[in-house]
Amino acid sequence: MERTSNDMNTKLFDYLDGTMSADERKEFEHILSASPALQKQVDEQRLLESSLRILKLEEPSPAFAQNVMSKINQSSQGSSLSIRNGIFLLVGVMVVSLIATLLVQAGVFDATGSLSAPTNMGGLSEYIKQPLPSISIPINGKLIVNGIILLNLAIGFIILDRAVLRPYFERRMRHS
Amino acid sequence: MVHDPDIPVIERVLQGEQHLYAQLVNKHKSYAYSLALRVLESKPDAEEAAQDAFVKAFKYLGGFNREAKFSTWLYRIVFNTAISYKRKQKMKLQSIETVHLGYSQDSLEKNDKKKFIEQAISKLNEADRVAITLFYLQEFSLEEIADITNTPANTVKVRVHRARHRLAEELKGILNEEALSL
Repeated sequence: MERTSNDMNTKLFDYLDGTMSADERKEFEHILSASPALQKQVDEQRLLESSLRILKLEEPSPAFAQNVMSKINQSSQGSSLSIRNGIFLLVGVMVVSLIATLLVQAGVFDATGSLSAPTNMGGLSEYIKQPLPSISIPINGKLIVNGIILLNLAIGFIILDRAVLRPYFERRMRHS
Repeated sequence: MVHDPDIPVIERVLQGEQHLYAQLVNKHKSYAYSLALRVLESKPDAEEAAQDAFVKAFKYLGGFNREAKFSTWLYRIVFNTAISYKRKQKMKLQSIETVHLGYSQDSLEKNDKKKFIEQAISKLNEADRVAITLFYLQEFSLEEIADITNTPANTVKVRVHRARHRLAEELKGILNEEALSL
């Protein structure tokens, strides 16, 4: 029953929109002439359709376009690095990594030191009666500098991606 | 590729003439705003959502593939932005009274046909309101409406038909109420 009603509605709107074939139109008009209820529905719908013609677009505030443009300007000013600055930063990171690598290779950080708790307590010794346990933390300078070099390389790759390659390909895509 | 009168302006914007984007904003702002207003039913929110949609469209203008018209692509962004604002609104649990206050005041203006239609549209659900807006205000085809709302064309057709039918019913109801209150 509901399906039939939906089908009839579809036909009604197709009829009003003029999207029916000649045969379908003829058939629908035949049904229409036999059904005063359907005829009434078509008339009401036609009246509505003509009323809807008075619907107009709503207007936003007069400063709408200006606000959009200032938002765009703000976002482009506040956006990340320019390609040129990105390249400078990348070169800086690479130079630091290179210098650190050369120093590591030259054996500057080969000596292994240790961090020990002081044994001579100076003026505090009269307050601390118990001997302090000896603590010694070995420090491998080479390992630390190697870690710093790796970190620099990772930062370098991120800068290369975000500030150089991505903007470059986006610009190329826009111009293609 | 479709013929789109906006393409030459878009190309110049992409080549660095950013200020020309204002032309596109001025051309499409009323429709974008009306669409956002149908979803959000609040003028300040619709204004903000439509502005955000234009900013997003500018940001991703390089990715616009030109298979559809710029307006269809833009209105899809407007629609999605408005829907996302709507979700935020729901999370804020905005009071229903605020939304409907305007309409109860509007009913005081008895002889204004447009107000009755607006009132009837406001009684439709969100999907039907959007479908009706897209169908009548800019006479988009069902396929274009389907593209903007990311809905199958058949569903859009059913939705538009249902919305037109309901709109007629709502309008009859409103006019009867108005006649009784006179």
